[in-house]
Amino acid sequence: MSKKFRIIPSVQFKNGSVVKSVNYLNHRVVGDLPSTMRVYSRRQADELIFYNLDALDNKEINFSTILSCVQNSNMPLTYGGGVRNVDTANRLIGNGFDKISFNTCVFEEPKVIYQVAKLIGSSSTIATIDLKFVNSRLCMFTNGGKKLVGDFNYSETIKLLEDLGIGEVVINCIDNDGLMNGYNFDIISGIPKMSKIPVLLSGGCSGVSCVKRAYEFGFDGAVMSSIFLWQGDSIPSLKDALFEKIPVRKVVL
Amino acid sequence: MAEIGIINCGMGNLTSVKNAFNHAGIACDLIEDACDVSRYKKIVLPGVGAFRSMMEKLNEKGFSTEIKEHIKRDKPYMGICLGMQVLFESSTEFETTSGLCELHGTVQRLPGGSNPVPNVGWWDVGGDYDLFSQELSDLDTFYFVHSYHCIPSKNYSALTIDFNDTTIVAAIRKNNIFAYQFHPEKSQNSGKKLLKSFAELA
Repeated sequence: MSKKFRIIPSVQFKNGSVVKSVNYLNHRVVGDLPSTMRVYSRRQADELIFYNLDALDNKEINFSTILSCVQNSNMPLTYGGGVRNVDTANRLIGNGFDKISFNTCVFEEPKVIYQVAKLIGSSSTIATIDLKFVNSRLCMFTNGGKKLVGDFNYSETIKLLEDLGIGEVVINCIDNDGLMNGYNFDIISGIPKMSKIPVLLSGGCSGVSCVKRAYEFGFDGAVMSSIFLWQGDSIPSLKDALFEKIPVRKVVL
Repeated sequence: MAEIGIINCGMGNLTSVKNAFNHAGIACDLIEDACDVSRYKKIVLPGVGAFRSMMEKLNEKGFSTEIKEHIKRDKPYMGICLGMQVLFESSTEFETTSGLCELHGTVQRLPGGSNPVPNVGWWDVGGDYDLFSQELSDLDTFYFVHSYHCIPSKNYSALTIDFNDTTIVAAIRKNNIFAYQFHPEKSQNSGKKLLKSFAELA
């Protein structure tokens, strides 16, 4: 009996379409939401993270649109984007999302995170930390990569998240987003070892070899999207290639 | 009226559970009022969140008595995640809280170690699958999201995982009680087998 390393597609949603960015810029339309969700469901992704970019900058969350996520999915779903209070988080959970990811709120209204964790449970309360180099200093960003928070000191940040009741964290490197040049292990490989909560990584996945390394460094799962869009990889092909190397879940029919 | 009723006590991911049953071609209703519990042949109690809030809601809305009566009559019950944990005598989450006392034992925080807590993700499980569904095999995996786990003080028929060198209960079958720590409604085809075998119970 063993725990399986998770292969997690992420879906960015902007102006009503599924998009894909490079370094969080130049969002290119790559599909519509219902069919994207159906494809990943049919391929039985281990989980899916949905980032609703339309809800950034204090815009309202368009529930009727995003619920097609849930309706077309059989996967455990994480919602991220514009959640700033307990009611919204609870409503998303009630509507079929399994976990809520926070970013801006972690730094601007940490009390809310604590309340959410108490209501829906730590295991459903997660954080995405966006990292980017500024003048060769590694910094954290909020508001979809637009607002600088400060230097990233990983032991401090992970401690803050754990204290707030966050149950899982996605470490995302904006500098690698969309480039398919491999995860930037130089700056993040030490995080799982000092973290009590599961750590996922995101930004730049290039395929089998970098997913295998992520597993070896102790990450709990790998988040990716471009390789499924531009490189001809699919969840089954990636898992088949990984199956002999690391514990991944075989798709059961 | 469907045979299966899903209890809505205001906590948890009812939509996912209802959708999963429906995708498997199984009809089910949501039970909003405790008075309706006895009208259903089978009940499902899903739940995410904290043990104490869940127990408060079950007691406040009168579901506790109805669930106990349902189990006493040996009618099929499926508890998912928190819906499994509340069957036990007590939980130490936040502060010690009494449960429904239908199963013997307590609920405690997962042990620390190389596996991070919360335990999030897919596991294959060990034990006698047939008690839960005749269709299960070694290839089936199930989706877990939890920080607390059940520690039975009696020997129940169970499925287990090895978590940080401790044997953790993943599922318990006692008569017509089917209790799942993992989420059958999120476990895709493997979970569907459990929902179907529950629906097919006589």
